[in-house]
Amino acid sequence: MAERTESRPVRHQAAGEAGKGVGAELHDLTAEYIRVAVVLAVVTLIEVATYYVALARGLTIGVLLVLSALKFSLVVLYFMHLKFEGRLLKYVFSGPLLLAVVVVIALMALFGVLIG
Amino acid sequence: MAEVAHAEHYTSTGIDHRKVLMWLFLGSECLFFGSLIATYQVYRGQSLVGPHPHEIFNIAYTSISAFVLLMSSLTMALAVNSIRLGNLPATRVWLLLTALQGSIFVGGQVFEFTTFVAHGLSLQVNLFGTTFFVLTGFHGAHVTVGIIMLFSLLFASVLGRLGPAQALTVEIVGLYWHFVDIVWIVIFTVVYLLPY
Repeated sequence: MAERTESRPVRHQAAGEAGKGVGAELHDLTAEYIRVAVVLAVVTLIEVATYYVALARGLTIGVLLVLSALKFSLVVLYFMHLKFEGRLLKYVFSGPLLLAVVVVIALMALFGVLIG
Repeated sequence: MAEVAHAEHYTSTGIDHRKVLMWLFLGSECLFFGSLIATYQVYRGQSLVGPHPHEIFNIAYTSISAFVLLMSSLTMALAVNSIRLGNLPATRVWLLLTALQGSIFVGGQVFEFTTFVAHGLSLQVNLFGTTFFVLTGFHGAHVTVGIIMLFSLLFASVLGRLGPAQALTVEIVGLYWHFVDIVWIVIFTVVYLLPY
């Protein structure tokens, strides 16, 4: 996965430079995207297999949540290019995302359905 | 006059306003879907009458549907890549493939909803029906909006209004599309795969 650095110009073309996050350098990213997609496909296969394999309930939940988080992260970081964006966009997205996760956990704890 | 509209403009962040706005919108969408997922989880397994999830879910069918939507993120990323490189024909192909995969997903969801209703599940029948249809229904509506955006881009390209100068527009639509994909990644695990 090639690392790219973000340039942060004060002025830029409204159209054509794609906000610098993607379009700053014209690399063909086809191979990188296909590699990510293959990983996503394999993880999905493992997820579905985990559903059908008779594991302990706690282990099944743990494995499925980890795999889901992995897929989520791969899409956000590589397909949405957040890995290559500046801190502003990372905070703008990860802040509400973290809050949403906290809300889900807090509500489940409040209603007594977090465990069991 | 059109050139005037595309003139340089000042941004204090160095990032186009439209792109920042889309990321802000997606941040707010995290909270929107977070609240729906929280509601589903709070009422998970609380239904007093059926049908219950294990009686009507077809995991094999939904897995294929989820895989199709996941792969649409690949074709969307390739569409953004192509427009950046100035390859308009490839951009059209990837956009069309993305829209078609999205349509297959929504079609699959309509079929699934129809099947569930035939099995007696509705918004009113139990807590599972209410939380399931609201959560997955809102997601399906989001995918449908994404498909309309993709076909709009294709239509613009046919009219000659989509080129490398509009790469940012394609990227912003791509951000939205990837977001509906990551929401389904979570829904697929939480609603369908986690044991009840």
